[in-house]
Amino acid sequence: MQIRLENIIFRYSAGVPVLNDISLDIKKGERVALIGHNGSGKTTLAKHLNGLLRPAAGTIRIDGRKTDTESVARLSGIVALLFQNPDDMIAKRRVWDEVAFGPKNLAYPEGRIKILVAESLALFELLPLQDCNPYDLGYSERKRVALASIIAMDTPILVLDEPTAGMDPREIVLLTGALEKLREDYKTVIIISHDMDFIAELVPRVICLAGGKKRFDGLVRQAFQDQSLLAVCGLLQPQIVRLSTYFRQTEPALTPVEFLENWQRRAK
Amino acid sequence: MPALEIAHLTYTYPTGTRPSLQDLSLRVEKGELLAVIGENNSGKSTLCYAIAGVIPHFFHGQFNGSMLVGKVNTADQTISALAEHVGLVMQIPGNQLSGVRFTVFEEIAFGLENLGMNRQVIHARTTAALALTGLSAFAERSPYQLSGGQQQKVALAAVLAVSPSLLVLDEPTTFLDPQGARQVFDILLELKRQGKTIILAEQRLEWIAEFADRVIVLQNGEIMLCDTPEEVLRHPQIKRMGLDWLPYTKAAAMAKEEGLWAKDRPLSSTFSATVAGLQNG
Amino acid sequence: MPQPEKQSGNATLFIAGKSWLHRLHPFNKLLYILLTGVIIYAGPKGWPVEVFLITLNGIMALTGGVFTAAWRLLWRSLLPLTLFMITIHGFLHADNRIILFSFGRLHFYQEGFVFAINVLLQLNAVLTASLLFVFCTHPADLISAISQAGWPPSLAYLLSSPLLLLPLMHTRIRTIQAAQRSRGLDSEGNFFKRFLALFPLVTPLVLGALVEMEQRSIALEIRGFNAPGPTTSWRTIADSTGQQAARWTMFFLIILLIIGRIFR
Repeated sequence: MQIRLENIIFRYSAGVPVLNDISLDIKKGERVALIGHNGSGKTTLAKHLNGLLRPAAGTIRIDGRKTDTESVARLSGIVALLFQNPDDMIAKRRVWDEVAFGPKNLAYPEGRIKILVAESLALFELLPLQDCNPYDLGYSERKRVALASIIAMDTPILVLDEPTAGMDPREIVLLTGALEKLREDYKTVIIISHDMDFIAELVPRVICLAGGKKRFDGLVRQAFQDQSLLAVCGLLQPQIVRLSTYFRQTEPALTPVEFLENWQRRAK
Repeated sequence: MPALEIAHLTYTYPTGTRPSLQDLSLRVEKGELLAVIGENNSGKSTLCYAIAGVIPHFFHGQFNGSMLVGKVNTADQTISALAEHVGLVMQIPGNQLSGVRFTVFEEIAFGLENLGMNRQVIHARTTAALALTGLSAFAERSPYQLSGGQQQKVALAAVLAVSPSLLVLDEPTTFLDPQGARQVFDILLELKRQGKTIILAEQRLEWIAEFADRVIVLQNGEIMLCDTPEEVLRHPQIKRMGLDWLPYTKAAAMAKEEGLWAKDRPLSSTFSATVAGLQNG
Repeated sequence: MPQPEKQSGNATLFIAGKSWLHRLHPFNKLLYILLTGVIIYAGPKGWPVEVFLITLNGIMALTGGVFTAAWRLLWRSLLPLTLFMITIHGFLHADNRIILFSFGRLHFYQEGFVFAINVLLQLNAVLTASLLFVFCTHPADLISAISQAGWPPSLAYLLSSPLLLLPLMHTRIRTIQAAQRSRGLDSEGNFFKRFLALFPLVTPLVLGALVEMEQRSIALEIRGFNAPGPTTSWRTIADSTGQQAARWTMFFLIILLIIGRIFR
């Protein structure tokens, strides 16, 4: 499923535009990060992808088809959106039912629902908790439930708003595993995040927003090298990029392994 | 006299089946910045609540051991009476707005009013707290219309205005962008310089490595490690505690394996230490 | 970051301004509403009194800069009621005797018409007095006035928190709805569908509200809301001996009118 945004403009009643002339293309199976300062328009843009918000001007196409007349419920079979706050999502009193909520709404057959729910729960190590009430769980556990319930919808496109916020390193490893599975399934994943180290290691392409405008769209490597871009977008260099920049490595490294490879290559 | 002294604290929530804090003893000196890290549900927030007196006064449950803030035994005081000595910034920013004040300025002044400060003091301290957190432009806005990140700053500013000698912060940067988070840590550093004692529960270990004087690692309500950030963050067992090495430490470890890092040199967890290690490898 | 959906700050009709009406002590404005009500109920009867009060309120609204807003709100709320009352009473009032005009066998009577007009004028007088208060008093000022008068802060809390938290609740409902539509819940379309879509809203809303309430009461405690010592108030409400005298005058007038009514 290819996503194409053309000249999107959005404003809340007569104010300054929250999104100002945003155009972008995302290919099927791509993993993209949407980054920028607080209030830069990331979440607003995400809500355009599944029709929760409608642009004042511009068009959104998914696989060439314009989505502006499609209802959110219809689009939800194509684009699944993880909300920042899991408590906005959780509607059921049992973890299993919660994760099955989306697939059921999408009227998947019973058997498929069972498989999808079990798989998603397993991804986030929630199987032992499947009979719990989500509200008896901690914040990050509820966040995992919310993630599982989005992935269980088995949509070709997933938009994850701050999936790492409040998660500990062990849980982030679970998320990384889930992202790997989504890649194998050839899903398009758009991640909104403030966690620069997470993005550096996992996402090849970033789109940077600042003040509702697109400031950069390209390789994560390039974005993290551009100090003035980072300053405008409220971002900081990830740790390894910082090291790599300091040692003037020609190709900045994103992971410890890359960094060491660069180091040894130069030594030779 | 220590700023905080916890002795053999064991606590179980009223609905809990096992203790959330177990035989926890800790001494924090005045002017120290102590970081509390650990996986989720390890007891970080519970510890924060206990220091501010929310435990045992709001959440009752089973409370054994003692908690001294300066000379004050928290068990003998109401939470509100402790407010002058301990400031707490809770995890979820929107929920700690008072619900009785209509502007950001008044929201930040709220604590000072409750402590009976006079107008000059309220004005001076609120204005200063607004400036320090970069919220001056929002003074007359409704705090309920702000974003999560901005609300997080309001919560911090409200505590700064009261200026208690002990500050307890439970993941105060979760919703902030990287530069916003850095700003908060700069503020904390400044407070430390002014002699404040700070207890900081935090997931962003990169900042802990840089700014904390000491770190404790909690797991299942117990203190597993208590040491300098360098020692804790490069500890080989840290993964078993639901944590992970920072990319800096991972890079250093790989460099050591490749013989690019001096054998007797410990692994690093900050930018400068990693640079130094690599240069002297 | 979280939910910068379109939010309304609070549920008040307050219109910012610096007029004398805005500066007037909230209690004076409140007592004025009460006085108007008591005059209508227990004072001299007849339309001249009501018209006088409405004119007076109109002049006050003009000098306070809220006339247009008041006019707009009145027009919208009273017009349907006016049509309804005049029709009902004109045709059906129990005392109807004198026919004003007829549509075939339907007769429109003078007594019912006069009665309806009178009730509408009375309503109008009290409503305009209330609007002066609502438009020109920031809720925060009322709350400060209550605390300054030495009444318990919990009363102030009871009054102000719904004003601030209800809109918040409204925003939350919309966010939860959005989240559920994103998960394929069809809440667009016919009434039945929309009705069914309400059920999954309840759990997150109620449980979320409970968690929030618990957190907020902790927050109030740790910010010293129940601190033992004396408290101060940043927002002060200007008062004067003249205003106090006016308050007492209104108060005694109210008492006199009520006593007069009882012993008439």
